[in-house]
Amino acid sequence: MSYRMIGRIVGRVIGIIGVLMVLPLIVAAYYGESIRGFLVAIGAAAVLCGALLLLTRSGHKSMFSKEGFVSVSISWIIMSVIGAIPFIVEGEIPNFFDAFFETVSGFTTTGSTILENPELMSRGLLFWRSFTHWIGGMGILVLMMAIVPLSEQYSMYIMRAEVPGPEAGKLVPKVQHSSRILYLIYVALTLIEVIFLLFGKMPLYDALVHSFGTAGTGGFSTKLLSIGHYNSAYIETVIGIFMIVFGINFNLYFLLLMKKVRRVLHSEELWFYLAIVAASVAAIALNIRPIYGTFGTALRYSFFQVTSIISTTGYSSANFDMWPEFSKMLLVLLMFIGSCAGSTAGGIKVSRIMILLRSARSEIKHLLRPRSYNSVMMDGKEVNRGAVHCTLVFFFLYILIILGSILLISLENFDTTTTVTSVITCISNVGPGLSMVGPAGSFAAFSGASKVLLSICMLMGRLEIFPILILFSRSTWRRRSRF
Amino acid sequence: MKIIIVGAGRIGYSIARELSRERHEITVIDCDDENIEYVANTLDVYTLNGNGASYDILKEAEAGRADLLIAVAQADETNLLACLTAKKLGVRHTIARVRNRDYIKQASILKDELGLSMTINPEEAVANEISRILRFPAASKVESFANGKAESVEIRIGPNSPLAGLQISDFHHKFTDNVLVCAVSRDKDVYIPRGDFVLKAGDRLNIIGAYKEINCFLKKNNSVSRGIRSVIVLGGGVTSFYLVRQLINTGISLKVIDKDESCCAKLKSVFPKAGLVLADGTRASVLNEEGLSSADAFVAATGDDGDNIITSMYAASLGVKKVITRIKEGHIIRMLVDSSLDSIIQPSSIATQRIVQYVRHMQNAYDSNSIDALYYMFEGRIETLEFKINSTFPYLNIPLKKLHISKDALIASIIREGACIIPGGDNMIRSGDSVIITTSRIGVSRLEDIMEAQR
Repeated sequence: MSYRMIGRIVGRVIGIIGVLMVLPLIVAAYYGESIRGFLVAIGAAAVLCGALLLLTRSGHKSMFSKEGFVSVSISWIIMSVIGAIPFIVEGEIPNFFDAFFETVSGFTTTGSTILENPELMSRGLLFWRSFTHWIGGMGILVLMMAIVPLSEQYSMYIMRAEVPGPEAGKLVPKVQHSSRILYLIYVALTLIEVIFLLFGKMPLYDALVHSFGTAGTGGFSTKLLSIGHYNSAYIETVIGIFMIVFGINFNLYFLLLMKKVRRVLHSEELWFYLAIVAASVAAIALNIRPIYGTFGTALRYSFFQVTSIISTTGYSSANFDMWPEFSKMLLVLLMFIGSCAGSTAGGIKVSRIMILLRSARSEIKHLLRPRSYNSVMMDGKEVNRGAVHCTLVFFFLYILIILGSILLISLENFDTTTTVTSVITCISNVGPGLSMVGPAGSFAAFSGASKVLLSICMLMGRLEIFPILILFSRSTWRRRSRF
Repeated sequence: MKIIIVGAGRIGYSIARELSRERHEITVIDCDDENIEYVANTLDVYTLNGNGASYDILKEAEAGRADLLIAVAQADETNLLACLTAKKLGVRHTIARVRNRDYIKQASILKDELGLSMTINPEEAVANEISRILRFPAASKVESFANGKAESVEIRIGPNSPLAGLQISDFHHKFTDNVLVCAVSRDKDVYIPRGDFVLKAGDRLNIIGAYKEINCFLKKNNSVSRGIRSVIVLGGGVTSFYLVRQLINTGISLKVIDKDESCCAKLKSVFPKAGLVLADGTRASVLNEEGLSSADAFVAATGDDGDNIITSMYAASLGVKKVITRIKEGHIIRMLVDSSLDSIIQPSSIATQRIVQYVRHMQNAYDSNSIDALYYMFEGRIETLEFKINSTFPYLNIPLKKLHISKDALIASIIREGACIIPGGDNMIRSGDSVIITTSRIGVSRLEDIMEAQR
């Protein structure tokens, strides 16, 4: 294992986090709040970054897939620790586990919170909390590669470890250019959303914070009632549409820019995703119609909640915990599915679900007619067997981790709904669950150990399991003499 | 530049690696899943899985907007078709690997007809390299210009050499008018020597001239006691075929050993004069019987890297002066750290060098198409460039002594009607000439660049 290479990457990531923290610092200063927390965090980042880069200055820079995975996971853990410093120093979330959980939840774009009422927090910290969504959405290492070119070899390993989806592809030959294009699209879409929200008479600060939450598909709100606070059909529609937009594979936007509309329209994942959204909106609207009286109002709440959950954002415009059982179960299933690969959303991803369904179908066909040749097709091309196999293993691990975590969380002795949905919502990076962790509740009641476990679940969900598993696997850390 | 590489085999991979290091935007196309995955995992390039000669794939690779397509797939036909299709799509330049012996004669026709910028034959390039080493065993590095009309060699001045203490202006009186010292490397500096430059022992010289003249000079200079006269070549494959073709008329006596009868028959039918031995040359008894210990040089060029290495080690142990080993796999060369083999030739790296050199020159002369070839000397601190002169050159038919050539450059030779002229003050540059210059200035793209303002 090349510790030097890992040190270099982690050092750079910490440096970038330090620089990015200047933004919330300015916001805090603007509102006349204490900036001590941010100063301490930036100082810590600077010292750690300097030390790491100095220590790993020389030496060989070889890097393989193992180093790629390990440096991605370590970067995410360390940046969460540094990101938690302002909350602790300012004393607004004094407990370390709480602050760590909140920051991980931010960076992984989950949006689960331990805060009973976010409106009591200072504006600088709330800004930072939402800004972590924005940073984590597209990924910090992708940002790093857009800024500083890594020794070009093996940089694909890092990109693949951080960009969600079964097959991370490049847009253009150079990783650096690909990352830049992704970030440019990301920034542009975020700005467009801010402008739309400003039209809806939302204050600039709120518009920024909620756009960060939407772009990263995170879901931290500065309001107790989340988006329900504004009680505006316009704002709900804008955010709802943008949640769908940020749940679509970013490569498609690049293809649109390149005027390859036909290839965009031929993306089966896109249509499947939109079909799930449409069907779920209709089903839930019908189901909740008795509560809201008219179909129109039911459609409004149903649309917002479905887009919010399937994009794994986690905003709420109504307390869906009070909805009928069918609607609640459907929302939980949508949490599993998540959005498209290559978007900022979490969950298993629509393309994986499609591969799973199609390989099940091909297996059944094969059993019926053993000599028939069956293969899994996507976008008119055969998915190679390695990718199908990897998807099956991914799904198995996803379920296994959920089951294991549910068992451990059950030690808290909460009701079944809380126990099960808290794990599912964390690993799928959604945010709220049902019952105690529902839109009106919070994760405050969980013990420190459970918060760490749920934090790991969130990281696993965001980094798609394998990097974190590799970090904790024994063979990664074995010494060379023992192979 | 935007470059498309068709074929991700040994050569394709190493070209992609070298060029992506030089910050080009590269797309690699191959139809083998495993090859393409390896490329995608280890290099910063865009990859496409499919047939590189197909219209759809090339369209997807945006061949129309690419500057260069390099076709180095297994089959010549694929390469030529890829170049042709890409050309139709609008790619600016194409390079194809054409290696089949059956197409040698039509290679130049193909090149012109298909509008290829360059064809590369790895086996022939290897044979060129081997034959150059055999012809100049004393020189550490040999390059050839203008299709071999001029060559440049690098030699080191020994302590007792007659060259030590010699002034450049006396060089021609003492030796010959037909070679030129075009660059000198001393300690850490490089010089383009003028007439008053004095040579010292320990200097590395770069000398340019026609092959015969250089050989003559090297003999006079005593830098080699005796040239190579007898060579044993192990393996009668394609590389040996080209090697025989190059050496057969140079007076070097050749013996090719191969255990395959059809190989021998093929060689015999083309080169009736060549010495052929039908035997298993990996046996010491066979090599001894064929007189390995008294041969001046041994070339191991069988298809098996292991056989080549073992037999070369054996030849070196017998005291053969020059042992040349051909090894295909780069990872095997990397493991040969501690061995007696000094002249190792890797076909893919030679082909890569040629192509990368071509791409560099394309890059250098992006807007002027006048550079014909570009070589790096003394670790890249000196550039040697070859220019084709056409009638638009502003200094035609002016004696060189009347031109003001900048101090960091030198006109090393003029190739006219197939002959290499070492220019003196009275020579002139004419339309149709090829002019070779050496310069320590990097980035010269036109011959005019080294001319200072005329009064």
